[in-house]
Amino acid sequence: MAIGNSFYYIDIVKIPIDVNIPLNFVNDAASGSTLLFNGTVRDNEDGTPVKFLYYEAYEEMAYKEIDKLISAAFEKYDLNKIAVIHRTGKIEIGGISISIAVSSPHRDSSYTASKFLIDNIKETVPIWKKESFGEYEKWKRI
Amino acid sequence: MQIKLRLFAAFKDLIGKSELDLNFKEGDTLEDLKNYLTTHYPQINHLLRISKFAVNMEYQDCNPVLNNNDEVTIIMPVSGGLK
Repeated sequence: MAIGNSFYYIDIVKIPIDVNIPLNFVNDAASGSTLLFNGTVRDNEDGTPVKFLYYEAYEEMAYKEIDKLISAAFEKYDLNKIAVIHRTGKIEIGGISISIAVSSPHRDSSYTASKFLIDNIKETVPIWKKESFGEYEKWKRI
Repeated sequence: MQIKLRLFAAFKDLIGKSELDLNFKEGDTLEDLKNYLTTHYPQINHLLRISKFAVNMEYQDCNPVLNNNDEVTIIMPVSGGLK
């Protein structure tokens, strides 16, 4: 269930991510920059073919941790709006696992904030992925 | 007192459950819970050593005293858990 206010939006979904949702959310008349980052499922891990990924989240805590990172991003960078959507469950190769949209008066803040968000989401948000290699599977943090 | 341990990812697979209801004595700490897991679920020891814990959805860097109805989660680190 999505949370947020008029400045930020967080959702963890079990269905394919519609990238128009974060893009439309951050669309803002005071912004000269709108940036969308999509994390997508790669077909290999260090050269070993991957069949698909399966994502699992400790959802209640994941919302809370993403919320903290969004607050930190607003404090650090000159931003207008942020939207973060993460998908869980089975995702096929090429599918989008996370979508981060940011808008800001100027482009520098969008680029740095987007990187800040994805780097820190991977660091602190309790979401895991299981890589399926066909013969065996391996759990990892995102 | 009653503690709920939520299990995700490799821990869920290795223990075969998504949560455990555990009983501890008043005054027991997170370290006591870790010791319990080490004894009762040796199959997770290799991951437990490198994992973090969250109590009521907050990461713990030290060893807090647990309270009745606390929700504890093992946060698996970057990688691990070959199946």
